[in-house]
Amino acid sequence: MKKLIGSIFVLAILVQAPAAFAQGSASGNILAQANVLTPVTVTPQQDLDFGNVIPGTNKSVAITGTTAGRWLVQGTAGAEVDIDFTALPGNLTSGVNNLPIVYGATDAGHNGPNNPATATTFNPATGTLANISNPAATLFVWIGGTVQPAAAQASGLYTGTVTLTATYTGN
Amino acid sequence: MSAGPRPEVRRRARGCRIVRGARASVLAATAAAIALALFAVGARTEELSAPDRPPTVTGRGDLDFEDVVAGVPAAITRKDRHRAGAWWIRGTANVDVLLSLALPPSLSGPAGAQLPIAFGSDDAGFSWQQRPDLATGFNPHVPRVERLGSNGHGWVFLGGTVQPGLGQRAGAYLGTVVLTVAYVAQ
Repeated sequence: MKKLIGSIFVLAILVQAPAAFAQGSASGNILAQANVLTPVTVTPQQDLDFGNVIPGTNKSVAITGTTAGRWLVQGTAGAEVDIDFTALPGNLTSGVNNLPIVYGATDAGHNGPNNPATATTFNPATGTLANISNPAATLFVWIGGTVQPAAAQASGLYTGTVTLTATYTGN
Repeated sequence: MSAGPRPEVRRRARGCRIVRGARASVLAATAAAIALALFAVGARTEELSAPDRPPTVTGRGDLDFEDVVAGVPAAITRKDRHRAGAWWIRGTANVDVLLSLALPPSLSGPAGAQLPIAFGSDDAGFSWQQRPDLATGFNPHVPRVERLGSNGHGWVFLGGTVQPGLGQRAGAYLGTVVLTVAYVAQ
C-alpha cells in the first residue's frame, strides 16, 4: 500500500513537474536598416530658345533640337525620381504682351546619358517617373515646345520660366 | 480440544483478514481520494496555464526604412505589414510573458556615420496572431506583460522613425533590435 501511495505521489509530482522545468527566457534579433540617399539636385543646363519667330507662323523646338531646354538631375544611382514640371507657362511674356506656348505629348524626354536622341519621351503636362542612371548617377531631362505668335504679335523679347522638380519616390 | 480453537483462530484469522481487507479498502479509497485531489490540483494548474516548455523567439521581419533622403525624417508604423519589425514567440498557451526590447539609439553607417532612430510610445504592438493591424500598442521603451494565445503563440511588431540630418552621409545603415521574452511567475 505504501508503494501504491508512493506511486501516486510520484505520479502527482510528475503531473506538477512541467511548471518547474519550463521557467526561462529567450531572445530574438532583427535588423533596423535604412539606406540614406544622396540628396537629389536639379541643375539647369540650357534654356529653351525659339530664336527669332515670325508673326503668324508657329515655331517648334524638339527635344532633340540644339536649343531644347535641358536639366541635369543628380542623386543616388539607380534611385527612382518623380519628374514634374511644376511651372510650365502657357504664355511667354514681353511686358504686357503674351506669346502662347504649347507642349505636345512627346515634348519632354529623359535619359541617363546626355543624349536626347535616345531619350524616353513623356508629356510635360503630366510628368513621369524615371531612374537616375547607374553608376553615373545622372539623369538628363529635355523640354521642347511650340510658340504660336499671332499675325499681329508685338515684336520684342518674350520670356517665361519653366521649373523642373525631381523627387525621390523611395523605389 | 485441539480442533476447538481452530475455528476461532480461523474466525479471528478470517476476522483479521476482513479487518485487513477493510483497512486496505479504506486506504485504497483514501489513496484514490488523494490521487484524485492531486490530479484535480494538476488540472487546476493546467487551467492556470503553467509554462510547460521554454519560450522561443524568432525574428520574422526587419524594421526596414528602405531609401530615405538626407534631411527628411522617415517613419514606419508598427502596422506596416511589409516594413515593420516582427518577432514570433512560441511557448505555452495562455501564459503571461514579459516582453523587453533593447532599442538602438542610432543605426551605424559608412565610415562610422550614425543615423539617429527614435521609437514612440505606441511604436510597439503585440498580438497572438500575425496581424499587425490588430496588435495592441505599447511603449517599446517599457517592459510589457502580455498573454500568449491559446495556440501558445505571440507576435511583436515594431515601428520607428529615422532622422537623417541634412548632411547625412549617403549609404546603408544598420542596427540590431533585441526582443527578450520571459515567463511571468504564475
